[in-house]
Amino acid sequence: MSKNLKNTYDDDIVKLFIYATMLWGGAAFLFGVIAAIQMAFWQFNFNLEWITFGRLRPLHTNAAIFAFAGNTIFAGIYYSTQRLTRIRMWSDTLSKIHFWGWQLIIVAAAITLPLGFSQSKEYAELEWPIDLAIAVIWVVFGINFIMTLVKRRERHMYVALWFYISTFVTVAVLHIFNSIEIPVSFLKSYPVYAGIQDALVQWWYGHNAVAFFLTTPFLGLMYYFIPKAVNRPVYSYRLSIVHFWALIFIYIWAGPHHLLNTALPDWLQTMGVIFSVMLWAPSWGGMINGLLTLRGVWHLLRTEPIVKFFVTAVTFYGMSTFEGPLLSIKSVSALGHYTDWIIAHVHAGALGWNGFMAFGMIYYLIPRLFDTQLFSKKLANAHFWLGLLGIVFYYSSMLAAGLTQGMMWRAIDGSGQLVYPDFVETVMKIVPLYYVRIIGGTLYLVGFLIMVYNIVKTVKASKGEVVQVAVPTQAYDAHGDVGTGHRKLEGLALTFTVLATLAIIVGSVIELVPTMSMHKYVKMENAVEPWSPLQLAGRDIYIREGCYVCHSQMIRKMPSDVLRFGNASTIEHSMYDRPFQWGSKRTGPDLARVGKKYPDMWHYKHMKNPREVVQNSLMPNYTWLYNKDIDYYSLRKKFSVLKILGVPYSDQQVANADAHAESEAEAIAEGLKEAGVTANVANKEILALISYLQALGQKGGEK
Amino acid sequence: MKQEGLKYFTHPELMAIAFTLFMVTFVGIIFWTFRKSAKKEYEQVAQAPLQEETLHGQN
Repeated sequence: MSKNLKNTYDDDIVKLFIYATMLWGGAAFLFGVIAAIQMAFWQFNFNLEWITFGRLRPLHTNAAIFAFAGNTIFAGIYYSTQRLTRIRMWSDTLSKIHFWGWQLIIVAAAITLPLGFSQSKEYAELEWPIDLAIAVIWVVFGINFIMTLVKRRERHMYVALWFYISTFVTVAVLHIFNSIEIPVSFLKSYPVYAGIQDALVQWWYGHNAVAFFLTTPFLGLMYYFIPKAVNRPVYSYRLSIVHFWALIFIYIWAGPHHLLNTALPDWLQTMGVIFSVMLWAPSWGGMINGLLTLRGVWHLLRTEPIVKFFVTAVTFYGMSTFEGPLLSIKSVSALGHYTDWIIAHVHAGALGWNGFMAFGMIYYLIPRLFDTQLFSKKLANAHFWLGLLGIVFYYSSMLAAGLTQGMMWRAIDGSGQLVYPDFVETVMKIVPLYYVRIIGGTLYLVGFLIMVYNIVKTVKASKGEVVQVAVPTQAYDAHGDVGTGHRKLEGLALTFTVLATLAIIVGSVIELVPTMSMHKYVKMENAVEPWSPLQLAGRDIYIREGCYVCHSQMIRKMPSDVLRFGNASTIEHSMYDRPFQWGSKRTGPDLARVGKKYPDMWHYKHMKNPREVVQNSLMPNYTWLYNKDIDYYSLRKKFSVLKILGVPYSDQQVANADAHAESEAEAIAEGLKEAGVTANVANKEILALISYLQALGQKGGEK
Repeated sequence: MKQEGLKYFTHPELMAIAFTLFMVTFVGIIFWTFRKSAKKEYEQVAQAPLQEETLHGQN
C-alpha cells in the first residue's frame, strides 16, 4: 500500500556547508601559499613561533582536509541524500548540531595547532578533547544520515549513498582506533601505541583518511553530480557495484606503503605494496565510469564550466590513482619517499580531484539553491584555467624537485662514496623549483577568490529566499517489487552498512592485530633505555614545534640512507616512542642518529640561526626556545602516564623526574658556558631540546 | 620481493587458499553483477538522480 506524502528538503543546511567550504577553503589555500613561500624564504615566518612551518603545515593540511574538503562533502551529502531518498533529513536539529559542531572543531584546531598543541600524527594532530568532539559530532552526522536512509521513500539506495555509508563507518573506525590516547593534561596526551605499532596504526589511519575522507565521499558526489550536470545516467551502474566493493575492500590494506624500506616487518610492507598495486583496477574502473557518463554529450565540455571542472577532477583522480600505486612499489618508493614527489602527488589529488569536484559542485548548486543564474560564466571559465594552470605549475615543479633530490640522495660514485654528502647541497638545488611552486599555489588561490566573488554576486542578484513547494512523494511499498541480487541489497540500508563495515574490517584486523603483540617484533636483548626526564621534555618540544614535518627519524635499509645517516633504524630504537617520530618528509636530514654527532654548542648556535653552522640552510630560527622556561612541573605526571603505558621507569624515577631534569639541564648549561655562551640559558627550553637531540641513536637498540 | 615475502611466510598453502578465495569472490561478483537478466533492473535504478525533477518539479 502506498500513500501520498508531502515533502520539502532542508536546503538551508546545504547553503551553510557551502559557505563554510568557501571560507575554510580560502584559509587552507592561503596557509598553503604562506607555507610554500617559507620553503623558499625562511624569513617568511617573521620570527613568529605560531606560523613557523612546523606548526603551519598541520594547520594547512587540517584546513584543507577537514575544513575545506569536509564541508564540501557534507554540503554534497545533505543535498544529494535528501533527493535520492526523496525525504527531508531525519532531524533538522541534528543537522544543525553537526554543522556548528564541525565549525567549532575547526576553530579549536585553528587555535590549538598554531599554539603547538599537537600529537604529531599526520592528519590526526588534534589533541584529545578535540578528538572526543570529532567523535561525537561524527556520530551525530551518522545517526542523522543513517536514519534518513532508514526512513527513505525510495526503495533503492543509489550508488552515491553506498559511498557515503562507507565513508561514515570507516572514518568512525579509523578515528577512534587511531585516537586512543591517555591524557597528561588538558591539551597533552600520549598514544597507547608506541614506535612501530604507532607507525602502523597511524598510517593505516592516514592512508585511509585519504581513501575514506578524500576519495569515497567524493566518488559519491561524482556518481550524483556528474549525471545531474550532463543529464545522463552513469555510464554503467553495474561497473559502479564492482567499483564500490572492490575499492573499499582493497583500500583498507594499503596503509603500510607509507612505511616501505623502514623497520616495519617485511610481510606488512609486501602486503601494503600488493594491495596498493591492486587498487589500480577499481580506481580506474571508477574513473572510466565517471568519464564515460559524458558519452554523447562531450560537447558540453566546451561550453559548460561545471562540466569542465568535473571532467578535469575525474581526470586528476585517474592520474593520482595511477601515480599512487606506482609510488607504492618498493623500488619507486625508495626514490620518491621523503621527497617533494609525494608533495606533488598529494596536491594533484587535493587540488585537482577534491578541489575541482568541490568547485564544480558549488557552481552547480548555488544557482539552483537560489533559483537564479550564475553571475558570470566567463569568470567561472577564468577560475578553471587559472586553477588548472596553478596545478600544472605546482605538480611539475614538485615532481622535478622530488626526482632531482631523490637522485642526488642516492648518487654513489665508483668508490662507494656519496656524490653529494652535504644534505644542504641537495636542498639548494631545488630551491628554484620552490619559487615555481609559489606561482602555482598563488594562481590556484586567485582562481578560488574569483569563484568566491562570482558566488557572492550570484547570491546577491537572486530574489533571496527560494520558496520551496512541497511536493508529493510516495512511501514505498514494503511488499512490492524488491528486485533481485544486488538490487535487493540496495533496499536494505542496515544490512548494507554492516556488509560494508565487514569489508573494511577484514583488512584492518589482519594488518593490525599481529602488530599489537609487540613482543613478537621487539627483541628485548636489544631494548633501548627509556628517555631521561630532560630528554622527554625536549622530545615534547620537538613534537610541539613540528620538527617531524621536515626531519625523519628512520634510516631506511638502503645503501644511500646508511652511508648518509648510519646503520638502518631498528624497531627497538623507537620502542618507547609515544608518538613515533619516523616522519614522512626530509626537507632537512634524518635525525635518527644525530646524537653526539655535533657538540652541544653546535646545536645551540644552530637552533638560534641555522645558517651560522650550515651555510644556505632553509631552516627557520627558533629564537623563542632561548626565552621560554622548561616545563619541569609536568614531568612527574608525564613519567607516571608513560609508566602506566609500560615504559620501565621505577617509582623513584617518576617521583624525582622534575629534580632529575633540573640537574640535567644544569649540566648542559654549564657545558655551554664553558664553550663561551655568555647569555643566561639556565632552565631555558633550548637545553631540553639539545638534551633530546644528543640522545637520538645513543640509547642502544642495536642488533 | 616475492622471495622476501616467502621468507617470512611459512604457510604457502594458506596463501593459495587466500588467493583462490579472493579470485573466486572477485570473478563471481563480476559475473553475478553483469549477468544479462539483471540489465534492465540496473538501467532503471541508474536513473535515480535524474528522476527527481519529474517527481518534485523544479529544484
